[in-house]
Amino acid sequence: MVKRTVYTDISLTKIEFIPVMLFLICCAVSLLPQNVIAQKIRPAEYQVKAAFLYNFVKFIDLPAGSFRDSPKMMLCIIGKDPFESNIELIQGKLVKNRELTVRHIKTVQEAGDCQILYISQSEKGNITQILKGVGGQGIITIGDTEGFSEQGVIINLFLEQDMVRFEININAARKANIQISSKLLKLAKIIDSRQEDN
Amino acid sequence: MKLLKDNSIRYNLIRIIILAAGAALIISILSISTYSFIYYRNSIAHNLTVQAKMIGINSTASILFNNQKDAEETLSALKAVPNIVYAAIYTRDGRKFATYSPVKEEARDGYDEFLPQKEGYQFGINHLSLVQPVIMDNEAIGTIYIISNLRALHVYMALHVAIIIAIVTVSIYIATLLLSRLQRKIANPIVKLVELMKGVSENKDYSIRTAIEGPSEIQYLASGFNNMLEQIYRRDMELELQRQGLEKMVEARTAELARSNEQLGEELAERKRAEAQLISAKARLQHLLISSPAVIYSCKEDAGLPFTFVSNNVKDQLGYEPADFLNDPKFWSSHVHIDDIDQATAGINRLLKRGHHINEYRLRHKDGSYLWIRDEMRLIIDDTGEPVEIVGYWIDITERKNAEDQLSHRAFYDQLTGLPNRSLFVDRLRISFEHKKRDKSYLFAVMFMDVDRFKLVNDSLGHLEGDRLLIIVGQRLKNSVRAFDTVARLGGDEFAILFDNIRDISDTESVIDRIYNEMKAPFILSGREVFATISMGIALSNTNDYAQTEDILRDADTAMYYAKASSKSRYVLFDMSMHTRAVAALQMETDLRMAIERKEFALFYQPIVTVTGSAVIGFEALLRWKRSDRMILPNEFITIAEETGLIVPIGQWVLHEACRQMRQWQEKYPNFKHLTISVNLSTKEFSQPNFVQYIERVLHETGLWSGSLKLEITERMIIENYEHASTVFQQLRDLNVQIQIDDFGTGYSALNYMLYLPINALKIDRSFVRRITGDEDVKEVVRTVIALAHTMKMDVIVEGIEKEDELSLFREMKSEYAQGFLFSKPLESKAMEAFLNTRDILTENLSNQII
Repeated sequence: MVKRTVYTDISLTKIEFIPVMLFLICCAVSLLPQNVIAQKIRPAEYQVKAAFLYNFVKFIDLPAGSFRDSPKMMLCIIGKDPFESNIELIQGKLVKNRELTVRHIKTVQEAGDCQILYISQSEKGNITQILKGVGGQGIITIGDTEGFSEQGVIINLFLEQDMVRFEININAARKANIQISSKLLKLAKIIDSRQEDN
Repeated sequence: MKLLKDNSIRYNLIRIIILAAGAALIISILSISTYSFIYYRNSIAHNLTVQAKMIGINSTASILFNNQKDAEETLSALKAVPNIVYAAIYTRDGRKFATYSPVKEEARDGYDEFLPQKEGYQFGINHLSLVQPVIMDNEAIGTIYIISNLRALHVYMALHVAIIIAIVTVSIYIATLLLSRLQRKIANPIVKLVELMKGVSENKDYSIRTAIEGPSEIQYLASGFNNMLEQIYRRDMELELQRQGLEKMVEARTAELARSNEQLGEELAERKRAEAQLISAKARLQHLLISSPAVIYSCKEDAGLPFTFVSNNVKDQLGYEPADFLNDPKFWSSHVHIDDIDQATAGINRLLKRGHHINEYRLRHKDGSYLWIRDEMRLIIDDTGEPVEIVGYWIDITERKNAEDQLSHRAFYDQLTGLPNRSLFVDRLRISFEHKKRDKSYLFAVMFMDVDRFKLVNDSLGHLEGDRLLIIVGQRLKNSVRAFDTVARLGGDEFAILFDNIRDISDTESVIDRIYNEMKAPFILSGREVFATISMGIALSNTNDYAQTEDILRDADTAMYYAKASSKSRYVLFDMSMHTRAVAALQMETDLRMAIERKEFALFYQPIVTVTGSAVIGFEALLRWKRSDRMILPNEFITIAEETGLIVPIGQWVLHEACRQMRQWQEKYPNFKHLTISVNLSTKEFSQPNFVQYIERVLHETGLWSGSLKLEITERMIIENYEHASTVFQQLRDLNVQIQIDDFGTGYSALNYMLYLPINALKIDRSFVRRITGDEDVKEVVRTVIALAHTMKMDVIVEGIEKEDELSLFREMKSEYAQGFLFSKPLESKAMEAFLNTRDILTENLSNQII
């Protein structure tokens, strides 16, 4: 049984008042910078997304002809680049013994020598056209716009409780002739677009 | 278990086998257990590593895509692995990403708190920790950390060991049972042999035999043992037979022995009686030997005199046991003093010739000191006249010898300084004389010396300090001379050195230098530093044809007096002129003594005149010695007269005669009434204690008025005893006798004393007069002196005026009186009377005017 104490008079004496105030001030002061620090420390959304782009490649096998003798792993960004400077984190890193190289393109026709194609939210309207342009070429299409998966983008990033998650359209992957590791699939939300096709 | 009680073969066999088997088993158990433990541990670690790697591979995507839930699912696969208490995945940047633990937090023992840095597994006491990196494309993307509990392993191992120990214990027990039965096959025959052996040795029964059984080696042993017993048994039988034969023989011999024993008993009694007599005789002899102070001995006459007997009292005398003498054939000869050995050996030879000899020599005591021994020896010869041995006795005469030595030392050495005394010195000198007689070129020198003013030291510091001074002087002289020179104290403060065998005088000079330097150091007497010098005179042996030792000593003494007089030279070497002078002085002394008796002395008178008018005021009486052929002036004999003391009777005669003559003249010539007579006094006369009474007596005897007498005294006399002079002068003045200072300015200056003394006149010496006409300085000095004398109310008399210009000079200087050849030479009384008839005579009493 919890003994409940009822305070009939909660006014503070002067002497008690000063330490209480000091304590409150201290709390306020200590809280403020912590918030600031927390915001700074938490990686920006696109920083995480950039790392994801890089990591995805590790779990995906591209068809043999995908590189056309190029020694590079070409990441093409179509549409407005949301990564800004965050892309520098992965630019030039080695993945599967290839140097990851970032390139901005305007039209899907330019994506002929890309292995990874990031489709910006700005291309939401052109998505069908873009996917048609790359279909079956062994290009990993990645986006971060709601509904892209259902439309046929292989990997689509989304936020869930402030965490970056991703969904994989396995039909699109199969169509693009790329092999995705079960480890990656295990972490992804699987979209089967064949149901939607029907 | 009877067989395990003692140190038997059985027990030992079992013990060895069990120990060996046990040790082998224990080593095996330990090895197997250790091996199993390590094997199980390693397999656990290996297993865990495999698990970690699996998890690593499966969790790469979860890590890369930051999927904690998936990672934890992967970790939960460890459920299948037993004993895992904790597992965690850390990201590359050290952040704990996912954890798994099937047990409560308390059971993890805090292992989950931190990630060890070291890769691989690590065994703790109860845990195994494993750190395994997660690799993706050759890149570490995280770390897996797994903790496994080892408790199960430990329990398993404990059980494992327990089972093995149980098996081993059972095995050893079974082995022991088996062994105790099996070893009997080997041990029993041996035990049987041992028991047989015991039986034989206890019962001495050599007829027992043992059964031959057991292993082949033991069978050999048993049969060999049986053979041995057989042989012993046979020999025993033979011996028994022989013994019985012998016993019979012994019985027969015993009877014979009993008979002869009786005879022997009788003989023995007879011998005991004889021995008793012999012993009492020997005891008497022994008593005599011990109680006698003489050591009795016998020895062979061979070289070294090997002793055959020496009485026991030799130990009291020399500290050695008689055995020491007897054991070493050269003991005696090696203990005779090295200086006496020749004499002792010569003594033995004499003994062998004459049969008897007494010798005195020194023998060494055991403590190293020497005893003087008087040894009386006798040679024992046999019937054919061949020497058999020497017998003798010796007594200790050390005390007698010491007394003799002391006496001879006292006779020849000075007791104070320890130096040779006069008689030893003369003795040595005599030896040198002898040497010189044989060898004409042989040269030696004698130095005679004494301490200057030694009397002063004796008088002021006392005789003890004086003696100390002499001791030190003696030491310093001894330090200075060569080793073979003789330094002697002849007596008093006189020392002498004999320089033997020198080449020339220069040999002595180096010694003289050393003596001189030694003497420079102060002598510490009564705690004060005293400086003493010595005067040295040397006489060389070839200076004179010395016949007697005393002569050369005397000449050295003479030379020393020259040295003392010169005060400059360190030493004076005697030459013949000194001898001549000494002889002459001696002759003069003899003659001087005679002269008084023979009345050879005469007084001459020289007039003293006034400088102004040349009027005679009196005379100075001057002594002359009419010695057989010639007239001798005082300066030739007065020193000797003073030294010999003859000056006193001579002086008395002079004073008496002068006063008598003056009185006679005054009576004969009334106008002589105011004339005075001046008489010179010697120091000796003046310093007589009753001098004034003596003057009074002479005046009384001669009847001369005291005012007519003037006494001439030198400054030196005043200085030497001012107190005396002061008293005497006062008394003379009271007596009306006048006092004049003679030879003023020639020697000591007594000016400061003269100020306070009642002196009537100064006599300026003739040496000033000689120089006054030529030398302005002298003139000035004389002028000053005269002025001074006048200031002190004294008259001035000038002696030795020979020329008129001298007189006029002194006249000008206002000198009162003069005497000299210019007026008259000294004349005898008769001639003086004649002279005075031609001259003015002072007719008034001048002395009264002056005083």
